[in-house]
Amino acid sequence: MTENQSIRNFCIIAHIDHGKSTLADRILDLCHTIPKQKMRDQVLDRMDLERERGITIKAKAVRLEYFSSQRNSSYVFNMIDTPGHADFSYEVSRSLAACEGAILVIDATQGVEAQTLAHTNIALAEGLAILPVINKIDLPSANPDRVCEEIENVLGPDHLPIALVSAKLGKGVEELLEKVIDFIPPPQGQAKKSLKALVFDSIYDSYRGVLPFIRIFEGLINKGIEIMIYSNKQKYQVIEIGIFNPDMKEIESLGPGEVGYISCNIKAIQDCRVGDTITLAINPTSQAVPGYKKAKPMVFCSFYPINAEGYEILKEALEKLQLNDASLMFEPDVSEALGFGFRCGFLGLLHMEIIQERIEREFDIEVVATAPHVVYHVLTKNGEIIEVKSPRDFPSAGEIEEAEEPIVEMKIITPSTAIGGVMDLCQSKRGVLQDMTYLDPNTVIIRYHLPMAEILFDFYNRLKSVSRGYASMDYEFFGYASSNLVKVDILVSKEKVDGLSFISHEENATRRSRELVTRLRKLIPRQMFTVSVQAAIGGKIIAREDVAALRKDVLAKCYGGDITRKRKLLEKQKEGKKRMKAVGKISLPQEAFLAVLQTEEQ
Amino acid sequence: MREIALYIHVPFCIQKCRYCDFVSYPYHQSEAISDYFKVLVQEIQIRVEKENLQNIVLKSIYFGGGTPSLVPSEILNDFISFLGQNFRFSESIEVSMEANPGTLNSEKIRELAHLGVNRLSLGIQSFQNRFLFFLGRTYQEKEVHNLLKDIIDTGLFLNWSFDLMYGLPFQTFSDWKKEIEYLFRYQPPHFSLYNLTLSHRVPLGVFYKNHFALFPGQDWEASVYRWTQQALRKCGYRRYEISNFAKPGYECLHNLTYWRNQEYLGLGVSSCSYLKGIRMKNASTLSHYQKRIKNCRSPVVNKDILTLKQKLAEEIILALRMSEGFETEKLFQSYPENMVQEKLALLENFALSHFIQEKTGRWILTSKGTLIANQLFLEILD
Repeated sequence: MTENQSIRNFCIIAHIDHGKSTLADRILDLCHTIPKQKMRDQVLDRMDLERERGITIKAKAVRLEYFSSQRNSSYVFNMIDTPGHADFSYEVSRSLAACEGAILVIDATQGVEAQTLAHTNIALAEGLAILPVINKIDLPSANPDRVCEEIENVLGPDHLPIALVSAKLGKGVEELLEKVIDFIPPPQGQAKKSLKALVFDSIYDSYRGVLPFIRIFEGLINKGIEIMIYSNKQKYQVIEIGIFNPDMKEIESLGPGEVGYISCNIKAIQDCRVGDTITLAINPTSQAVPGYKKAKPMVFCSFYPINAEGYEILKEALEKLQLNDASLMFEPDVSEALGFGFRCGFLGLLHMEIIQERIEREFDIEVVATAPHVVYHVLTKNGEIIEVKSPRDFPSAGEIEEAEEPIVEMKIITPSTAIGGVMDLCQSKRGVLQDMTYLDPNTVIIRYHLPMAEILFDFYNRLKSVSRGYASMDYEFFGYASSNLVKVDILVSKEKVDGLSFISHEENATRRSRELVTRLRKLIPRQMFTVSVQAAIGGKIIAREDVAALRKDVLAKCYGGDITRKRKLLEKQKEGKKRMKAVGKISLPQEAFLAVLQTEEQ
Repeated sequence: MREIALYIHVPFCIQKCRYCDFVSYPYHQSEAISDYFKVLVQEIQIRVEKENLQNIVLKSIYFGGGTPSLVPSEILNDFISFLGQNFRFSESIEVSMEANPGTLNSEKIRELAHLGVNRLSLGIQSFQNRFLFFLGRTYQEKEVHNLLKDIIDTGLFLNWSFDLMYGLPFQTFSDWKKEIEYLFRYQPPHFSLYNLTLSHRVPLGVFYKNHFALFPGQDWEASVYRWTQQALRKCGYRRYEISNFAKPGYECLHNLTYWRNQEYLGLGVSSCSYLKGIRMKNASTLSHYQKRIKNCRSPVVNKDILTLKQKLAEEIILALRMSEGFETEKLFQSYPENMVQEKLALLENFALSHFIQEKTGRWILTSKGTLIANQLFLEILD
């Protein structure tokens, strides 16, 4: 246990690629946390996926011992490295709740970007001390003066940068740590009070069960003590206590302000949720730590195992990932084409992509992911309000009084030269301009309201392309707004195929229908008859393509009389046909259903 | 007397072609061939005993491969004599041999005629070097013309055939027309029209997977097939099976046995037999095949005893490949009525879409149906 006065708890926040993880590496170096021979770049990014993509997905806590030669005394730092991408801001907000301060890293060449603002706002809301730091000052294109000006414009004169560093070269890092001691307050909290600890993360270990990662606000936690989960009153005996060094290292106890993990034989994932409070079984605390606001999934998609046997594994995978990623939501789902699976809710597209990849890598099952979509609200003429999560549930046009779609507030920071392109893009995505503010003469923040469905597909890529890579974006859910939505049905040989329907804004319905029927024409195998593929709104056909009849499908002669082989080839072909879904006389392959469900190709 | 057809597989080639998915081995020394024929002789003894093939009349003998024309005449002579000791030959027996350009000269042609071979089937595939090269054939245009000239000049073979292949990468309609012009110049009494079919196991199959856009595709193939059929008809050829054309009287008896669902015995590595309603297949590697024979065991490794229903389905499918089709009356004689009725109901359905037609008690595929025959066969199979 360490005295409060010598503890500092902080996290590092930044826009993606501003050099957070490299700065974390240098801080680890200075504190001799990791032996030189084991040190590697971005040492805290442990997932293969993080290292491959060079991004941080999971926040990581690490305990550092820092000796300040200026003050001739030792300090304990609990540092949390956080993800930069907007989709993981929930992860960031949880990390912030475990800290008293945040180092805000800003790239000396890029300046303030969208996530810089987003993370700063969260940190301010949590009441943290913010230490802006300008990084990458070694680069020739670094412009610390301009960046200072931007920071002053955004954060006000109280939050001027306190350090100029080059994390790559290790310049200025020691000075930064001295400032951390000066500007970040030590944790409050008293050892003699009853235990009050926040579960800010957790992992599942097959031997030890759920391991909650905790930040202690009040009281002490010792080995052998009986603790209680505040929300469900479940009691457990503490078997092991440890800190992150950065690997798990067992210690005897943790006191106020300290960060570590406990092991207490929690078997079920549901029994200890991230955001919960841990207290003592005897004489519990009367008040929980304010938890987190529940993450609100914005983007939905369904995962189906490739093989039916994968369902249980997929379920287990989602449960375990949820433990580690509280923003992931899921519920069982069934599709007539793809069978049983789960509808999952994500904070954004990158989040969705990362979860799919983690499921496939860490649990070794292949999944089919449907296209991301949003939830619509519909008021029917019967006075019912329906949450439409699937085109199946969308009422027919005659029953709809009003339909609403989710709107996001989008903040785009862009060089002023690209304003025209950015605005054209947003207009074409049905955006409504809110305002525009100059950060400095060359940089502008544009605020738009945009339908969420419009940003799901290629918005980010197009934003990057219209701004030659310079614009950055961040969005949050704004609310629901009335919209002219229609359900488009697909008819194959004049028969409606349920699994192929989709919901669209009326303006886009024709274009999307044309694209889809064209794709379907290519995917539906040629059959004995010409097959028509039509898109219709109500009874009105808005697009049509024909799959030409099969012209040639015949085996060469029976060489050497091997009739059995020919029969087996035919049987195999027949098997393949059986696996397709029969719609009237037509057989549709699974790919056809995926065409509508999966991301649109551009 | 029970009449059957006899097939002998000769699994040796100068080199393996890039599209070939049959069992064959590059041929290095003539001992391999003489050893193989010794084993074939042993197989006959074993099979005659195991399958009760005493008192059999052979209506056809077919040497397929591989490249049977590589077999030295003395070996063939001994082998045919041995067949004569074990089987009776029908008076109108057809003895066919497959041969490739570059493996026959006029002397060898004379020897084969002398041995009793009375039909040659030539694996020409193309008259154009670039296609021959692509397919991995070992000869060139010049050798094709030399061979055809020798056959015609010796005058010893009246019944002969060649194969041509369409659906090759970069093949255009005028390329194909050129091939057919050569066909008309040489006028073989019989002609086989093959569409290049590639298994993923062969080198060209891999090429196809990566470069399928270079191949002409099904629409082109369908049109070329139709054009060829019409051109050949004008020239006195009759299409008697999906890929086979003949001048009247020159249909291949041996192949008709397969399509008429009649009995045949196959000898040699990977050969297939159909005897007493049982489909059989021999061991499919040379070493496995030889080992079984040397241990006095039957080389048959797969036996498929057909149920009556399967037999009926196969009989219909095979018959529909032929332009003679099948007679409903005959089916009723051999199979239970309800079983036949069930299949006829399917066929009647196809007839509504003009894929098949019934004429005076015979069912025959229309030309539209012929091209998509597999789709119909799928439904006929159980």
